[in-house]
Amino acid sequence: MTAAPPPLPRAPRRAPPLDLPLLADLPSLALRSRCLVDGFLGGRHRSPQKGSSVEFAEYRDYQLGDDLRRVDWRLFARSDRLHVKQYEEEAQLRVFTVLDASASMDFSSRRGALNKLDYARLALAGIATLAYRQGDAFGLGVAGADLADFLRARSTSPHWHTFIGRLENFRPQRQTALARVLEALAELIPPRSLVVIASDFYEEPPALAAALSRLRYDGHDLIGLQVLDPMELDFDLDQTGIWLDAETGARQDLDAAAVRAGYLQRFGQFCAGLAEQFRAAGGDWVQLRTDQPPIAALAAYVAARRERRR
Amino acid sequence: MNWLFPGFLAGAALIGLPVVLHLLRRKPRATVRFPTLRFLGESAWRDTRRNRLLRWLTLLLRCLAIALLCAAFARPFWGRTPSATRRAMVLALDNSMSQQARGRWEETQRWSLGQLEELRPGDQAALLVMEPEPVWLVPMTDDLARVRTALAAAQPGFDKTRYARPLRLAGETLAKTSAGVKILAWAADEQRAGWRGTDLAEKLPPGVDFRFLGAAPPPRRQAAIISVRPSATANHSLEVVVRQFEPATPDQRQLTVCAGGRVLATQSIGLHPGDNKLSIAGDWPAEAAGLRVSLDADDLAADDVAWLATTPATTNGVLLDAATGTDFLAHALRATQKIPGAGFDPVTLPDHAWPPDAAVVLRNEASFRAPALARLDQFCAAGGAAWIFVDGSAAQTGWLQRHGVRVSVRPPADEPWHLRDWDTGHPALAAFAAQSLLPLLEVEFYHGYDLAGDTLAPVANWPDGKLAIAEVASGGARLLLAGFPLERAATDWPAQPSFVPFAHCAVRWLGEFKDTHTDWRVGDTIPLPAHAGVWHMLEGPGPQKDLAVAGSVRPSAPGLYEFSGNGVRKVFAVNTPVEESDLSPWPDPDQLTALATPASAPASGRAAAAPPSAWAAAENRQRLWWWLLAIGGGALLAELALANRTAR
Repeated sequence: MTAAPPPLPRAPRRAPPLDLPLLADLPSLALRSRCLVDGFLGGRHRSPQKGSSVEFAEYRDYQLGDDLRRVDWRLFARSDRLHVKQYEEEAQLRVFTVLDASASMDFSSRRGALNKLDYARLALAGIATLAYRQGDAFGLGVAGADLADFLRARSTSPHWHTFIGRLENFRPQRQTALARVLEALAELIPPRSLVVIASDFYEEPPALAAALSRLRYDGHDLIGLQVLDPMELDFDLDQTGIWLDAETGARQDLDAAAVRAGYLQRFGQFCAGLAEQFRAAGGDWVQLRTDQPPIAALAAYVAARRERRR
Repeated sequence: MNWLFPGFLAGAALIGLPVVLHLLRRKPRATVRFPTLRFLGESAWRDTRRNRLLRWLTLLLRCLAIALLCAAFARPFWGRTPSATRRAMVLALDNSMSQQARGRWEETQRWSLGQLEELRPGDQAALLVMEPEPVWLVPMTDDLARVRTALAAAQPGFDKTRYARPLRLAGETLAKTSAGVKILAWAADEQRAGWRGTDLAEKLPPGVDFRFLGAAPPPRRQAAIISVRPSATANHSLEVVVRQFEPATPDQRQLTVCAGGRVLATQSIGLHPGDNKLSIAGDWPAEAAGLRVSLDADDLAADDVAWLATTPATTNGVLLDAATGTDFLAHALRATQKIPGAGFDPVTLPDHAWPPDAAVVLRNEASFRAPALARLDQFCAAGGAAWIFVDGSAAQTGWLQRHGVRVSVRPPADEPWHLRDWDTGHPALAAFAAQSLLPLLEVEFYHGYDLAGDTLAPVANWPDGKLAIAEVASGGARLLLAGFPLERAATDWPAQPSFVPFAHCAVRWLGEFKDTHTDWRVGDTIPLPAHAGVWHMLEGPGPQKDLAVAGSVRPSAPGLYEFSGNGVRKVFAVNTPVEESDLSPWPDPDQLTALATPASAPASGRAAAAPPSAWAAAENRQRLWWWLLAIGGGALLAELALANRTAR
C-alpha cells in the first residue's frame, strides 16, 4: 500500500506591508512580536490551530498487542480484515534563540528608528511567537562577555511571557564573545534543536567557525540572522572626524569618503565569509536590514527552507 | 612682469569663491560612533590623509585655474615698466658728404655728445647713422659709454643725404620703447637735398621729443667739380664743369690735373656762381689708368677732386664675320651709336682668339670651318655668346647638331611667312615689350629653316608653330639662333624699322653690354662682369681694401678703381654725388619742427584707451597668455579628475 499524497499547499497571499515606525512605537515587545507574527502568518502559512499535528502515514495488519483504538473499524467493515492506522512519529521542536547583546548591536544610524539590538529582539520574539503558536518549545540565550542569560526551551504560555520579559529587559554589554557563548550553549541545549542566532557576528571568523561546527556536531539546525544597519551595509555617509568603535572604544581620525571603498570591499568579504561558514555548518544565513521589515526576510527564508526540505 | 589689460586681474577675486565653498562644505569634526572599525583597515588613516591632501590640492588647482585664466586675459608680458623719468634717445647721425664741410662734423659730434650727456644711468640710447643706408651703429642700449665711443669713432662718408628712411626708422624705434621720455636727437645739417622727397606731413609718433642740431652755417667758399670728360672736339683736352655755390661773386681758383701723383697741368680759373665749363689741355700719358682733376680746397674739399678713367675696357664690341652682300647688321649696329652711351661699334672677327665677353654674330659658313671653327669652339667653351643666322650650310648644320640643334629647311610657300608667338619677356624684345609687337609681326620671310632641339627656348615661331628664333645654352655658351639667313632673298627684316632695335637689344643681351656709362658717382651700383674679380682702388681720398666682387659693386668713396678678373680689366672713375655739393639748408625750418607731434596734443579716445604700442608689440611677441591659458586648462582638467576622485 502506498502513502497518500501530501496536501497541496495553499497559494500564499500577499501580506499587508508592515509599518516599521509603527512597530517601533508599540509599547512592548510582546505586542510587537504578535503584530509581526500575525502579519507573517496571515499571508504565508496555515495556522497551527486549524490542522493536526499527527499526520497519517499508512495501514498495517493488526498484530497481537496492538491498541484496539488504532484499528480502523470502517476498513474492517468493508474488508473484514483488521488494519491498524500508523501515524508519523510526533516530536516537539525546540527552538533556541540566541541574542547578541554586544555594544555594536546598540546602533542606529537614524533617530527614532529601531536599533540593531531592538530589531534582533523583534525578530527573535517573532520566531518564538511562531514556535509558541505551533506548540513548539522555545528558549533563549543572551550573549554577553559570557552567557549572560539562559532560558530553557518550553512551550507553555507563562514561558512565553517569561521569554519576552527576559528578551526585552536585557541591556547591551560592552563586549561580547559570541563564539564562546555558542560553545557554552552547546553544552546546555538538547541535541537536534533549532538554533536561531541574531547578531551582527562581529567575531573572529575562526572562533565563530569552530563554534558553528560544534553546534552542527550536536545535530543542531542553525539559522544565522545577521542584523545590520543600512549605514554598515552602504557606508553612505560623509562624515569627518573622530570615529569611535562601539565595542572596543578605539578612536580614529577618519574621512568617510576616503575610506568608503576599502570598507565596502572588506565588509563584503566578511559577509561572504560568514555565509560560507553557515553553509559549511549546514545552516542558513540571512541578512536583515534594520530599515526593512523583518517579515520579508523571514518569509523568504521560511519559504526557501520549506522548499529545501520538500 | 607687466600687464596689457590689468583690469582683468580683478577677476582673480573669484578665487575667493572656491575657497568659501570649500570652507562652507567642510564638515564639522564630530565624534562618530560606529559599530566596529575593524573593516576600515590599516590604510584608513593613510587614505584619510591622502583624501584631505587631494581636497586641498583640488582647491589649489581651482584657484590656480582662475588665477591663470585671469592672468591670461590680462595679457602679461616681460618688459620694463614705463617710467616717467626713464629716457630713451635715438641719436640719428648724418654722416653724408656734406658733413665734411669745414667745422660741421666737429659741431655735430659736440652737439651729439651734449645730448648724450643729458642721459643718466639707466637711460637708454641708440646711435643711427644715415648713409648709405640707415644702420644702427649701436642699437638701443643702457651702455651709454658704448654709444659715446661709437659716436667719437664715426666719420662722415661721401654718400648723398637721405633723411626720410632714418627719420621713419628712428620714430618707429622710439615708439616701441617703454621709456617715459623719448628723444630723437637729429644730428644733421638739414641739407635741402636730404629733405627732398620726405613726406613732411607724416608726423613722428606721439610723445617723441624731436631735437635738432639746426642748420649749419653756410660755407664761405664752396665749389665742386661736376664733371670731367675728354673733349669731343680736341685731342689731349679735358672738358671740366665746375659749379660754384659760394661766394655769390666771381672767384679765382686753381685747377690741377694729375696722373699717378704727377702734376700734368695747372690752370688758374675764374669762376662765377653757377656752372663754369672749362677746358684744360695737356699731354696725358697713354699708360695712365686715369686722371685726377682737382681744385684748390674750399670749405668742402671732398667735391674739389674728380677722376677720369682713361684706360678703355679690354673688350667692348661686337664681332661680325664676313657678310655676303650688304652687311645689314653692321649698318644697324652702327646706327645704335646715335644712342648716347649705348651704341655699338661692330668689328670684324679677329684672326686670333675671340674675347669671351664680346658678342659674336655668325652668318657665314666659313665661320664654322677651320681655322675659324677652333676659335669658335674655344669661344664657346669660354662661355661666349653668339648670334647665329642659319644658312643651311653643311658645316653650320653639323656644328649646330653637335650642340643639340636640328635644322631642316622649310618647304616653300606661296605667301610670305610672318613670325608669331613672340616671347615678350625675352631681353631681345625689350624695345618692343612696352610698346607694340606690330613692327615685328609685319616682317615677311620667304625662305627659312625649322629649328628643333630639346634644350631650345623659343623666342618666336613660324606660322605652323615650329621654332624660328630660339635661344639655347650649350656647353657654357649662349646662342641666339635665327632660322633664316640675313639677306633680302630670305626676309625683308633688315629693311624694316624693327630690325635696328631688335638687333640692338639682342646684341646687348648677348654681350651683357650695359650703357657705356662713365660718370659713376658714390652710391651708384656699377655693373661688372658676372664672373668673380677684384675691385681695387687705384687712387682715392684714402686707402681702401680690395674687394672680391662679381656682377656689381657699390663704391662708398670716390676714386679711380680697377676691376680685374678672368682676363678682363676695366677702370672706373667714381666721383662724389653732385647734389651733395649743394650745402644749402632746407628753406623752412618750421616745417621740420612740425614733424614732431606736440606732447600736449590730445590723443584720440581710442589711442588714449589703448595700451602703448610698444607694450602691445612686446606682448604679441612673447604670447605668454597662450601658455597661461594652456596651463590653466591643464589645471582645470586636473581639478576635474581630482574632484571626481575625492567627491563622494
